[in-house]
Amino acid sequence: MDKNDLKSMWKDAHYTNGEINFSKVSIEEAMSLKHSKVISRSLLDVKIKVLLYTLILIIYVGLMMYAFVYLRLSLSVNSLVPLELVGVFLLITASSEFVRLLVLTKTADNLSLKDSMLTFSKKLKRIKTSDFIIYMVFFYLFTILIIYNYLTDIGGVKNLSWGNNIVPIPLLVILILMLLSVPWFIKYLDNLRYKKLFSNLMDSISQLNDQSDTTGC
Amino acid sequence: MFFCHFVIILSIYTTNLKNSIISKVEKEFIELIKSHQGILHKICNIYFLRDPYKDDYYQEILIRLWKSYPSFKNLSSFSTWLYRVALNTAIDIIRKQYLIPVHIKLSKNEYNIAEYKNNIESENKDKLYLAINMLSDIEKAIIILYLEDFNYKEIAEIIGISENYAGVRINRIKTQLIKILNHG
Repeated sequence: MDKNDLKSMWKDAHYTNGEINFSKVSIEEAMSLKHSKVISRSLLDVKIKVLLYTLILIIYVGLMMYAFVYLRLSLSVNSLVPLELVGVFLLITASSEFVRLLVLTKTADNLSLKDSMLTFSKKLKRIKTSDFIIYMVFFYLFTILIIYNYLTDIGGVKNLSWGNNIVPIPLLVILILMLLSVPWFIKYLDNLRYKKLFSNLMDSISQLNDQSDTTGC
Repeated sequence: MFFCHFVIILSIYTTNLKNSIISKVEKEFIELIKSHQGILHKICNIYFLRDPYKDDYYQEILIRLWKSYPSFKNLSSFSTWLYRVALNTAIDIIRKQYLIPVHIKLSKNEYNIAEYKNNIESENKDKLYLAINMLSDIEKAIIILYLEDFNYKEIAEIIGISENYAGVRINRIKTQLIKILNHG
């Protein structure tokens, strides 16, 4: 078969055979929709998750505010840590779903294919970076708060000793290290989650960038 | 009192004017799509050949075309713009399936479509589609533009590469396709 046969094969195929019928899809109906059925169903799943986690997070924050601000409840680090960890878990789940929704709804259809891919990969990188920074600020502040609470509980730095009754120092150090490593762990999870998407993008972009052997053909 | 009447009449007038402009744009879009529907069918067949949700993706491409239509400024031909948006959408749908895999039960109709496809696989058209289906998303975009008689300059513009490189890529893809067609 000759290279030029491809065009004639394509033309023959499209002039002799009828097109597969898309009559079920109405243009007018499509113009009134935000997304097609299958896409909006998938997006709805993500939106429901975002809403649910956010709602639980709001209730949790509300309860915490009520307990600590209105009732002026004072808890030791022992009791505070498990409560805060629940909050951390809720925050992570809510924000990771929100980030997923952001990534899913970002598009750049009007640009050339290459520019569209570059724009999307930049947006993806920006979303991942801002997500990481938010986590970093939150968890580092949270760690400072825990250290501050701990020191208040034991009555200052001067009372710091290995064997106090509140929380043993090695346990506290482990907890702090865990908290400080959470943003990096989230970054790792994000990389894992978006790995296929990102590698597909990079692969496509590199296909369009590959000009090194143009003289060879 | 007079002022109120004036405001009401003015608002009715502007609403009517706005509606008539919108409906004019809508009609124009529908007409353009109807005359270029074949392009969308081909893109859907190339990117979603055996996908039971092909109709849905076709609809998604239509939706995204309508959303992008205000940005179409007649700087290029309508078909060039249509290819650009439709190809971007098709590739975007495929790419985002990594994040939201579709797990929806297939209806009887969707099973029937799959059976129908198996019956006509022997035809030339399907051979060509199956061969194209083995290419990467970018290669599919380049070859459909070539097969649709776009010149190198237009292909380069839609894809976002240089004219020379478009030529190089087309030659490589053609060789690859011939190899697939000849050796199955």
